[in-house]
Amino acid sequence: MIRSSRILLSALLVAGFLLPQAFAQDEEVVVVSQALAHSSLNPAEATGLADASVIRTMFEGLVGFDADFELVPELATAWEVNEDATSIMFELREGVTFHDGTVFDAEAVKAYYDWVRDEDNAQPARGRSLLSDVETIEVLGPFELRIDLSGPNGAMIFNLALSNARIASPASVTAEGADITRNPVGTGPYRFREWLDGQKVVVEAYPGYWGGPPSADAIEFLEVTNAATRIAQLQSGEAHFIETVPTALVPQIDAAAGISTSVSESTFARIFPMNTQRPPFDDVRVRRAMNHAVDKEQLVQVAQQGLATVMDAPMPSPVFGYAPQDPYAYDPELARQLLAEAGYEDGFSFEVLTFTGDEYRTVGQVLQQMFGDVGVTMTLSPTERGALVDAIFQPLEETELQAGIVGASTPTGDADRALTVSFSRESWPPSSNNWSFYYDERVQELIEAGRATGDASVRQEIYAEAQEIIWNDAPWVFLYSPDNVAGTADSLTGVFYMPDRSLDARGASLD
Amino acid sequence: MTLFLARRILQALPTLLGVMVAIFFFVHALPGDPARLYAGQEATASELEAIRSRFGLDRSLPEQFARYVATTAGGDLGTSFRSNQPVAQVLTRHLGPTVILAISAIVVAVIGGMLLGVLAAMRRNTWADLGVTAVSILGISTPSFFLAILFIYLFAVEWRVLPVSGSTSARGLVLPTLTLAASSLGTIARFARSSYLEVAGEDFVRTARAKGLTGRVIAGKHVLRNALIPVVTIVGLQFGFLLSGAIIVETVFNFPGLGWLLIQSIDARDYPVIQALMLVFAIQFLVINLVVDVVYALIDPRVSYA
Repeated sequence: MIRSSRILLSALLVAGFLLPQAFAQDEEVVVVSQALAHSSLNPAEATGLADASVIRTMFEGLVGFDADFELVPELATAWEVNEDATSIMFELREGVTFHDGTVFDAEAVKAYYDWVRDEDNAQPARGRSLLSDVETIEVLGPFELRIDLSGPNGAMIFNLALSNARIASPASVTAEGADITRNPVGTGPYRFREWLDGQKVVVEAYPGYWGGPPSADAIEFLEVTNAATRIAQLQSGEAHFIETVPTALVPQIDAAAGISTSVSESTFARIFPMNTQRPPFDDVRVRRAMNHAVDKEQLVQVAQQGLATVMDAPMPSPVFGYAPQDPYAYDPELARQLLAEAGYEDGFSFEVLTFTGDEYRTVGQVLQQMFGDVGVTMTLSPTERGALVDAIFQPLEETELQAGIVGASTPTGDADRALTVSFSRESWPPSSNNWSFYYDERVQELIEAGRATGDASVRQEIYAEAQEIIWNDAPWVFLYSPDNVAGTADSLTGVFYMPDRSLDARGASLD
Repeated sequence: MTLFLARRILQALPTLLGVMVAIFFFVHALPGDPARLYAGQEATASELEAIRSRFGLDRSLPEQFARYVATTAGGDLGTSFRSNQPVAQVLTRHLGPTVILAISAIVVAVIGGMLLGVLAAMRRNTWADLGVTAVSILGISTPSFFLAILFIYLFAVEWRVLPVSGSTSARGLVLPTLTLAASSLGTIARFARSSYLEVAGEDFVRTARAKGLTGRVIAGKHVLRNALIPVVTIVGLQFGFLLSGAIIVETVFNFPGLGWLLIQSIDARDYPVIQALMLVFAIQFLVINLVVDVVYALIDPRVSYA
């Protein structure tokens, strides 16, 4: 027995160490290691960032975003929004085919979008809500299309650039028994190859792509939730691109040969919303005091190793309509004075719920100390994600939240979304993300006005006014916008973070 | 024996029903709204409503429970919220990797643990014994997340001989197997050693020696065989733990097994998958305990279930 087990053991060891190190591969495969799990490849339904990154390689929209979050043509070659923002004309690209051979034309767009808008379809809830302002889709010619809206919506064109508005082959979604979650058929440079649940999604070059076949033969999107594992993969050469490098580990990667980090601005914000309807934060002086009490530059150094931008507006700078404001200077003396004016000479105490995780914990501790310096005692209660989401989505009558440390994002890259979601009356929890229960009549009017015009410069002005009001009302302690930090092998080009933290991997290429 | 098996299986049914009740209410008592987690922070009220009704969460709790018991009894585990696939299909996809990992880990642990344990017992109070004790205790007490990171650092990053993330390929299996086997190996070695020594001190061993049997026969046929009984119990229990998904090991190595699935499902509040996993784990333990009892009978002729 002893001898045979010895042989078995040696055999195991030999098998482990001596099997070929890498299987010979004829094709150029780019390996991207993603931080989040995949859950759906149906563009009208998928809500995760990992899904959006994969979907971008296989599906195109009428319009899309470039690396700077500017609108660019994709399946439409030109578009025009009418003056009162109630309809959009599109000219479509000719010579495009879906991966299943279906010809792309105005009829296909209409058929697909009408399917998404059909209330009887259970799946595409997210896509349907993006298109909820669409009244009719009119085919004017084989490659000409008009989308009429039920009311003015100057932000509609940005909705159409989102991942959830990317267009799938109408034949693929209506086919009998089609599992659209797992059988994605679009027009993009890559088409679906396989999905190993919990491991990876693989896409391969689509030879019939209208823009010419892409550079890499295939892209593997690995699902690796553990950051240390992703970094080890980059270091060992198993992955060419890894998502979300913890900022503290950036120097380690930059010091290693053959790999480096890349840092870019995001549409994410870390914020400290205060309940403006309840004492003590119903007093604007208290809220301004809280802003003056925080040394935001230092916070960014401690929590993000400097890899973040201090907020100077209620939305991050890549968002359309962003208008920078005068920063709240770090001034504990002024903060104490404002608190005294509001009747809190001796300070006050309150509790916040935060997400667990290193970044939120550090932010909480730094804020705790800085608030302490002006006499305000903050108790931190780190809370598991699901429980925290429950707690923050309570209506005003039931909420126990006085303040929170949370994240906000603007995936549409447009001020309409940023302002509506965080500062409008209709977004008070539980319906959406106005965590501070902020309400201002003028801001409400401005949001409406911004929606009612298609003129970009007019919208810009309207949003600038709204941001100034919000900034002065200080419903949040405006913290920072964290950078997107990725790790890349030097041999890889063409994969990068979009500001919304999804990836654009369409141009992936290895030396 | 057949009667014994039938009785045991019947006895297991109320246990399973109890498990189902407990799981259902435990899962639904968890804070966190599956629809909200599925749809994302920015979801609108109408999106949430559509998703809740698709998940069946718009029904009352007793109604949901009744449906759960009825469909489960009919062999239908429902549809995963997260992946929109039949739960049975999701489980099967992740069961394979876990079984492969658990078997390879238990093989390594049993062979390694028995060898080390018997070696230590036969060379009691020597350096070898001390060394085995040290290795076992290190194996038992080193947290697997640490061991996993250590192995990744050494084998994948420094020496680059093995891949970082696990998969069911032979090379991808080595590091997760070693990490997972470490603690069981230590436990089995300790048990094997003490059990061997205990048996070696028994009267019948002295008798055997007095009969003039050689040391090898005594060790192999009399001592080892009898010393195996407590070890089998431990191996059974350990295998149960390994099968229930080595949650940490699977997460660190990104190994797509049941433990990994459990974490993902809890994170997404994927009720149908969490419920099915818990049920599977409960059944696994029932089956393993049964198998252990049967193996007792095979090893020890005095134990019988007739």
